[in-house]
Amino acid sequence: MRDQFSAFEENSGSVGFVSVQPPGPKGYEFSTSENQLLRDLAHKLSGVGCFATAIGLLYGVVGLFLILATWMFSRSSDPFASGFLSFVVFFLAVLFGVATLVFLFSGVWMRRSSGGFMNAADTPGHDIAHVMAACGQLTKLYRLWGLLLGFALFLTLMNFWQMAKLLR
Amino acid sequence: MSAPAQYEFSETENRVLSRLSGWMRFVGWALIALSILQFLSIGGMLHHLFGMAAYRRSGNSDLFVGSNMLAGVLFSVVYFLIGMWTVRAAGALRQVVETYGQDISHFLHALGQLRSAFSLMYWCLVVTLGFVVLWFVASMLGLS
Repeated sequence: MRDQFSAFEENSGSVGFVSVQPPGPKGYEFSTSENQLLRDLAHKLSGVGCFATAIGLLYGVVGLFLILATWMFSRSSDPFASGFLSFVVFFLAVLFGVATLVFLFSGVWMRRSSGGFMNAADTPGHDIAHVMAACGQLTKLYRLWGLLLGFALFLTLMNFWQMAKLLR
Repeated sequence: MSAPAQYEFSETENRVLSRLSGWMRFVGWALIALSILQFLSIGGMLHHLFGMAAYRRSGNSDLFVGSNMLAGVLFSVVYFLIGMWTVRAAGALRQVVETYGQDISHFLHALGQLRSAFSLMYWCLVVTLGFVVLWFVASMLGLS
């Protein structure tokens, strides 16, 4: 009964004598071809996300080995190994740790975003809410990538500047 | 008879899309800039002009220099394409926020561009993984 009433309300745009005519469509349901695009994008996002997660885990394992190596070097009686080498290996472990976090977060956000697009394609009723949730996850992903790429661009430009000074 | 009005995103939704568009535009242009710099440095002219003689003197073969340059050029092309599609997707999202009446069309156009970018990333990763597996198998069989 409630569903029939809701359907009537949506179709007619009015309840009793009170007009509730909206200015435009209240919700949106993606068509079959549009759902195909959403599904395809979701598959690609999920695939890249899985790769990113796997690479992150691999970096994490290498990072753990490096921490173990740092601990072993720091216990060495050789001053070179316990000093300089230990510091270098620890620095590498930190770099691998950062890379692990970047890849893991990217992977998680890509897979969450993929889930949002897939929900929009596969379930009826809340398509816009699902794609907006997916866009929220993509915003986090692009913010992280933007910060990293900005830093990479800065380093590359510094490198070019140094190279230009050497060639002059 | 005019076409029915498309769904219009709300203020809150427009804010989310606007933020996403801003970061995507930055990432896209950064990728394009990096691709150009990489083309100039690793894959391109500087390496060829200033590095070839040094490589020959140090005993490295031309094949090594050539493959290094080819990899650099390939990477820069991939970065450039992903950057270009990301900038286009950001532009379409910006149009969703700034224009009225065609929100869904612009949004789907943005998703199409995004799909192109992620498809290229996906296939690059698949090919790379294939090469890694081949290299691993060849190493196990003692072929390399």
